[in-house]
Amino acid sequence: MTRGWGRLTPYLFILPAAAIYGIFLVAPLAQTAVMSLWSWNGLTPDYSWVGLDNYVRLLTDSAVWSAALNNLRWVVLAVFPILIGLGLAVLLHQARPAGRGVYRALFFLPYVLATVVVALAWGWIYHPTFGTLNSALRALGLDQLTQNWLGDPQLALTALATAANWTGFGFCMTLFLSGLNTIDPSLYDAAKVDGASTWQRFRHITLPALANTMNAVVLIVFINTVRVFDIVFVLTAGGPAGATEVLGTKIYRETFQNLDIGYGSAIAMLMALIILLTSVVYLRLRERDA
Amino acid sequence: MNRATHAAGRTMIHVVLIVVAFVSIAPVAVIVSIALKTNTELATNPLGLPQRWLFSNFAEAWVEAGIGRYILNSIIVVLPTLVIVVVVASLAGYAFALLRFPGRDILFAVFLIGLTLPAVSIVIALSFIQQSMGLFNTLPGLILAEAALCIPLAVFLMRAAFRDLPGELREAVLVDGGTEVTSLVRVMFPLARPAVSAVTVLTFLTVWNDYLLPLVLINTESLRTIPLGLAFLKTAFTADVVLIAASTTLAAIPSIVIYALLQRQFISGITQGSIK
Repeated sequence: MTRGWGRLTPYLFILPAAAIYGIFLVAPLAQTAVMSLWSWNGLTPDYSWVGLDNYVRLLTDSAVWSAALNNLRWVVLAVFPILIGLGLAVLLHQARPAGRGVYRALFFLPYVLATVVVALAWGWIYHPTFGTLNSALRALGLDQLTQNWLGDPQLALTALATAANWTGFGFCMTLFLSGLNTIDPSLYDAAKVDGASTWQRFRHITLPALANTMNAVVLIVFINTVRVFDIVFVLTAGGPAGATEVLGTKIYRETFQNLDIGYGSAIAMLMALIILLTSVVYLRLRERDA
Repeated sequence: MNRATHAAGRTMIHVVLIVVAFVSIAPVAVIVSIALKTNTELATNPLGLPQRWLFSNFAEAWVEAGIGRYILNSIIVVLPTLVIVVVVASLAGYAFALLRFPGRDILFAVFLIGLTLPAVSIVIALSFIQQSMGLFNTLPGLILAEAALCIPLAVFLMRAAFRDLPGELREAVLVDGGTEVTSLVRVMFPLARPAVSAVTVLTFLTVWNDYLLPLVLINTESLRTIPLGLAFLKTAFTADVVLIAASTTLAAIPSIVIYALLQRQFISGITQGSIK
């Protein structure tokens, strides 16, 4: 009797987590996969089986490609917070300036704010007439540099990415700092004794030690950029004229506005696959290196 | 000479750090300064500090814009989610770390999938499932959905924490006639406190700041959480910038206060959650 229960113990321990996770995350994923094979408006009971048609359509839909391209542009722009975060971490760690705890706390602050708060703050900064950025440019006599930051298709994506990057650089810095703290300080002393320059110490001690952290940071930033939704939806909703449409807002538009549930689900599966495959490949590579 | 360049270098470092610190807080300062002005003053003096600090704007945001209600809803959602996630992830993490049973690795791999799954991919199906269960447009429904989103990382962190603890502690409890539950509750859970605080911080941040799940799962005004309510105000009160700024400030205060109080836990929580 006890033995029977004992054998069940592990499963009973996992059951509550598995139930919530299974019903509200795995089941929706499975249902999304099924819905992507149907054509349905989500309202009336008439749905029809279309097989892989939604996926074929997706591959030939220039709007999906342009949304994916915007995600890709955003990934490129997301290199800045990584580099800035790396620079700040090395600066705080090597130079040990006074008050570095305060600096670190301030740099990380934007990360704890809700994306909607960030979006509203930057929406005001970018406002064409009264916004902080244009007002500041005018006050400096640089009127010719004022822009309609979020209204100009040439600038909107960069403006959005900048707002998002503002929340990210302190996050990257924090991760790099924790990586730097694992380096044995005696390595630097030994290198100094051997006459290594500051650059050589950075190149041959600091950078190699940060390799794992760098991989994690790049993966996290990549995933967050591919699935970005909130800040775009609140600030530009994909506009002007699709200039800031990303896969996330495209999924939302197809399912909730065009009521094309099947097609939206196919794009959703595409996004989930991109992220899943990248993560698996990344983890495999890391295991091989380790 | 050498000392002079050294001092110059020090100064340069501080100049860089102060500029970055300014950039870090400027957008927050902008919103707070707008929140204290009138709409008329905002048009004529968009950059400077307010001439008179109108703290009454916050009272207006609390009452008229309904921010108080939204913040209360967010608290009602966050607290139970935290309890659920910590409890179920501790149980599951303990089993995955310390117990041997058939199917363990496959089950754990299924949890790992959730680590990177984008919420935007599954929200429409999630809303259909909640509709069929009668949970759609209810706070309990939102709580369960948020918990599901946080469980994979929480299970992962708790498993890692339990695995790093000495297994002899558990065996000692079992030899003394205790059960796995006693071992978890009395010994292992208290020792895993750093991981518990990491899970708490990450769950709080995810749920308090989440916009997408409430956007899709809640459509009654009185049930809106703070991010959803704020985004709604933006479209409803387009002309009243000051009211929106005051509401945004009120929405940001809880995050900033909790971060200021628990800064170390936040930073170690984020680090563990990302690097492990």
